[in-house]
Amino acid sequence: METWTPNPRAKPFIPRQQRSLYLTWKYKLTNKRTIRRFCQAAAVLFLLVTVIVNIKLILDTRRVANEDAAAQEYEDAVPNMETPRRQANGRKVLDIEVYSSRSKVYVAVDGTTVLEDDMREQGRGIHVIVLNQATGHVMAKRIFDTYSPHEDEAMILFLNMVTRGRVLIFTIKDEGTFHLKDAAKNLLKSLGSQVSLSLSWRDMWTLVVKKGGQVYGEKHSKSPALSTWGDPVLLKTEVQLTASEEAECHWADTELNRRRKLFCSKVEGYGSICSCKDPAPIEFNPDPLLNNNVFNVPVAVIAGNRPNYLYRMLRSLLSAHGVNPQMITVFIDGYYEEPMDVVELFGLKGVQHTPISIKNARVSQHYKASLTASFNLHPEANYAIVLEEDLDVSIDFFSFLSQTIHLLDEDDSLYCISAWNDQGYEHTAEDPSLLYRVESMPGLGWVLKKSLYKDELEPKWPTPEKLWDWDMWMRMPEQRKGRECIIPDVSRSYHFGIIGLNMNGYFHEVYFKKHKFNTVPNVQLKNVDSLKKDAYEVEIQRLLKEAELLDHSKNPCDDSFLPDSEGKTYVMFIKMEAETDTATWTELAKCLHVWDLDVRGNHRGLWRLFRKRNHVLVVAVPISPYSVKKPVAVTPIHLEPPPKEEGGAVEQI
Amino acid sequence: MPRVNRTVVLYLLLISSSVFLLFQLYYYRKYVSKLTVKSFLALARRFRMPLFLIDTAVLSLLSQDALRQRDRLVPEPHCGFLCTDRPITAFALQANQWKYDVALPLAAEQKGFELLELRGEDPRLASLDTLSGDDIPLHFLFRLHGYVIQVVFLYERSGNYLWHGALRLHADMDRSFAAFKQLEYGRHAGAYDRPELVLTVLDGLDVRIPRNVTRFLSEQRHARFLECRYRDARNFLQLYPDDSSPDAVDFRRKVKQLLHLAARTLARINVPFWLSSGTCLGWFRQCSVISYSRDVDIGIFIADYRPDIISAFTDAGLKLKHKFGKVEDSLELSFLSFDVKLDIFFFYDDGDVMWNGGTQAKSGRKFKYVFPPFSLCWAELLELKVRVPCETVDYVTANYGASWSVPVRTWDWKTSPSNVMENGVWPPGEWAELIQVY
Repeated sequence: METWTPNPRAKPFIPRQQRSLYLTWKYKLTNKRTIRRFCQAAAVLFLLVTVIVNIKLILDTRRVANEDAAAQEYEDAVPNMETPRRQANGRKVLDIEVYSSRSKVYVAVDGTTVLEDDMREQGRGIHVIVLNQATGHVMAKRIFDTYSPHEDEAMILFLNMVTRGRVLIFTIKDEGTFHLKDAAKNLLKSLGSQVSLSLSWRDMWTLVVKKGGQVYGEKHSKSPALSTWGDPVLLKTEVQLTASEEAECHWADTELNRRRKLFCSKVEGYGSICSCKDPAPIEFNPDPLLNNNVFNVPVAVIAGNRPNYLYRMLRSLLSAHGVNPQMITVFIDGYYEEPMDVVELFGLKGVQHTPISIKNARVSQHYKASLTASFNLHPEANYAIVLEEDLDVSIDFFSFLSQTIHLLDEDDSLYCISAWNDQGYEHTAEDPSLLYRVESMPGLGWVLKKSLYKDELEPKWPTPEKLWDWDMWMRMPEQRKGRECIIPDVSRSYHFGIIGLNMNGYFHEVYFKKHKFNTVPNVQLKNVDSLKKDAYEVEIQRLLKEAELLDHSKNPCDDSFLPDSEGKTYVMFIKMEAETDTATWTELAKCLHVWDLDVRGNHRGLWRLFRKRNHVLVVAVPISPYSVKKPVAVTPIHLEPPPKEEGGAVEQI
Repeated sequence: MPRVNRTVVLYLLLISSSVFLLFQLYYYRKYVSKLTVKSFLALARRFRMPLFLIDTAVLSLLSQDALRQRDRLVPEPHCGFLCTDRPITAFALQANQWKYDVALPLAAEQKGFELLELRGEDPRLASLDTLSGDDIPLHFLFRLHGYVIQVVFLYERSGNYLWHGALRLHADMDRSFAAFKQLEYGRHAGAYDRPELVLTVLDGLDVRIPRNVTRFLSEQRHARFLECRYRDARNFLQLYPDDSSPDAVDFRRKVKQLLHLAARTLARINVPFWLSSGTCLGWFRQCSVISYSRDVDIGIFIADYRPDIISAFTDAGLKLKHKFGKVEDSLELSFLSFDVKLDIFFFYDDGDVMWNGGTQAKSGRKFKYVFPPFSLCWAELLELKVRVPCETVDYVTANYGASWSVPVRTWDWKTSPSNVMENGVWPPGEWAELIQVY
């Protein structure tokens, strides 16, 4: 800077010099002019940059300030995402092979076998596969054993649920027409089948069709005689894939609908959840609970591969008042895709479990891993709520638990709180605000205390080689140690599963279908603290005192055994010499149509249930300590089992 | 003259503006960090992220000492805390209080942030290697104008502590996204006690920080966490199944109680300890307790010795069983809780090796167990956050030889360890003082 000559234009101040000198000076000057120009430009540039940087600084600061102010407005604004654009690639053709025969069926799509069933004595009936018409992916696989009754109705239900435009593939294994009624045959005809009306005994048949569209192929071979099957048929055909836009609905672009879209592009058979016009909700926003004591209690949903059940279960769970979806984890036994799809549809957390062992030991190991993981994932939790995929939960499920959960902390004689009353059937349960203490462990929607699990159960949980039911094991005296569970009179869960390890349609019909299930919201439970050990005895004594004695000369199975009164308390005494002497109770349970497969739901030899809207106390004499209340003159009722045992023993659940 | 003035004015202007510009550039470079933090906090507020500041550079300005010094300095008015020289600011996010919102990446993008999400396996499920859930978010990096905000996800683990994962880049990730070397969190997994938080105002921004900053900073320096090697443990247990007899179950329960009690007691008097010998081997080899080991072994550096250790344990209900050696040499304490023994070995640092001593009560013979130098890391055992030597393999190998992975049921503490050395005999005159058996 010092070398800079100041004020180059100041001619008048240039001292008069010799011409040569002046010229030199002038020459120098012109030279310096370029430098000067350059410097001036540089200065201006500097200034400009300074200004720009400053302006940028100011703008940035202002933008941040503005954003702060606007933050409030942003709170709930939905960001406008662009719809993901899909490439409209060239339409593809799928090669489809469908085989139908007596002992084997298979379906191959583009050379990939998507169904193969050649197991003996399995998979009889009509196999149905649903393909996505845009991607060719398998969206659903079902078997309808239409040799047996009512299965055709299930098939009609299913086919009606499938979205229009999907590709349907049918094939029969062994026999699929014996109970295939006209309604089903007509539906198949309306889908495009030429031969459905004439399908008959032991025919082989395959069909590939687009729902509400063209027929890609159909083959049929008649059975020549009653004792023989039709010849195997193999259908080979091609299906033109459509553009994906045509296969999708145009739902508003929200986070929920993105989940919905993903789900609906993968699976079928969930009814209106995928309806374009009026889709069923997947978010329920139930009312919160005031003073929710179970808001931060983890909920473990134990699941297998029954995705339709899981769907129904999660719907009811997410609709219950006071639910906290953040705390729900679904534990899936096995790496099945569809249950995981259901979990993701509802935006919940899913964990898959590599199956260990077989049958009930597999279930038991899955339970152990799920419970351990629940407490691992929520180390701050002192309890866990355990549910299964085949349960509905009542609207006040969490309210019920919130009102009772403190008992687990305050009463050491408690083992669990369960939402299920083993003896609570439509005709034997009455009062949603009433609670009992019982010596059995009902399960089916229950609360487990962490210390019980960590200190007692987990360390000695049955190992994989022991084929034990986990619930039977938990009920064993070594584990239960005389502790009891709190249950409601009216169950807060409903067992709807009819397929399962220990379950079939008949069994469900007899023991579970008529179970009472609470539908009243926000039930205020009565005298919760009277459920504690000592208080409950006082309560029982009060009930026994006010109870009227029933006429022991009548047959307890007769309707007239109970007077036609309402709201009264009665007491009856039955014979039970020892823990193992279950004959009278079992017979009584049978005629009352309650659980009669083993002795459940009692407290020190006392059962409490409702008959004709009256509260009935059943006391087992002499093993119950309440036997002392029996008037000396009364002989306890004794029933003998019918001489011949009917049928085989049904498996316990 | 006026012409002269004009030129001078021009020069003055030029010089001052360039000075101004330099100042501005310098200031802007520092200020950008505050702007970035500010705009990030606005984003975090919108997505209700439960954040707190864990940046050590900023927090150390807030620690007690620094604040005292600072009072004497002229406070910088606008950006005294957040404008550090580092191009990174670290925040922690309490993961159990937050649900990932799929709208976050887009919203971050709209604010000009580039977002790098790093996910990893959920260690809470990895302990049962038959379970697999979705990967969980471990670290988020938000970048704006070359400035990076690191969000460290803290998860609750059983053992009542917070855990964050190691930051590992996948092959397809941008290695130049941030100066990863400069990150303070993510080189290793870390474990922290749950800090109490306070809301404070830093440079005009509302941020939550740990209430006890000094404590948090010292915790941060030794936070490295080692996950148990669950897969190896499972393989081991397949070869040598766990004893599930009632006795073994009962023993494990007692060990758990004793270990929890010891940890509580030593934490109260601020003495750090680590799992040693058989207990350390149990953690390392099978992620649990060796059911036939019959005792619990822990190590304490002699530098951390305090005379009130004994009274602390006896107050907690333990019975002193024996005391061998002295603070200067081979100190060893044993306590009894029910029928399980708690052995406390004090470790001496000889520079190139670390050692602890042993004493045979009846003969007064001394033994020395030599280990390669080690540092301490956190680990989880029986729902407890405990320290173990970071160099666990070396430690276990020194103690049990290369075949530590094979169970040995008959063990003689004087001859079996591969690092045991004879170390002379206590002078008989001092036995009464140095060999106390109760």
